[in-house]
Amino acid sequence: MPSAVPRYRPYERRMPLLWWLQRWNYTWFILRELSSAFVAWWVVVTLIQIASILEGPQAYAAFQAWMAQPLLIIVNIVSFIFILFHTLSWFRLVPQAMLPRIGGKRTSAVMTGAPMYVVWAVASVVVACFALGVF
Amino acid sequence: MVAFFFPIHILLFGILIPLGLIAAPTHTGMLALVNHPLTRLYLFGFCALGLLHAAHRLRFTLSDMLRLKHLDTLLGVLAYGAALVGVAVTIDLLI
Repeated sequence: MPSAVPRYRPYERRMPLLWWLQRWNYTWFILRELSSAFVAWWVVVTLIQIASILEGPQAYAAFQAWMAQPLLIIVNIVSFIFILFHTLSWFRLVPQAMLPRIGGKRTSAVMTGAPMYVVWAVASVVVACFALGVF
Repeated sequence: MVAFFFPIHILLFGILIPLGLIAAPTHTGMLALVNHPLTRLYLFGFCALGLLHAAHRLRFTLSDMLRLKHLDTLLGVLAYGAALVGVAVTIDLLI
């Protein structure tokens, strides 16, 4: 009598801990994803900002003094670079993933990508105008 | 949402205003702005979507990057839990 079919553990390839440093593509991917840590950081800053505005002029002044520390400005510059990287890589990716057809013809990458830059610019200007009291 | 709106917030409130390159908006103006219902709706979207975006991506990035697949559930609970706490704080502030 043949014995029961032996049970095998599924083969798992061991990945080195620093696999994401082996190729630039991997490193960029990980850096892009890590930008979300800065997104979380910036939500926290925004919440503190809202809370200080609602609390009163003194709290708002304290918030601004806190933000003006050199260390925080450096952190924010790094955050800005990471999130800009996130935004630009997203805009570059969408035309590659999404190829809408108009009248049966494929639209070019420029046609798909350009509107996003326009919307981004308009959104930024609108937010800046509201924030700086232009409206 | 994150791609379109976060860069300008950071540039203005995180870099240009703290450096003094742009005059800081007055408290009266900011209060009037924050008290407007549409601004509140916008800020809620900004914070809530930002948090969920970060939670989702950080969970999978940590699990892939550091080979923590076996801790996937724990990471998920931590990440989404933190995001939900953040959303609760946002709601508390804005409503």
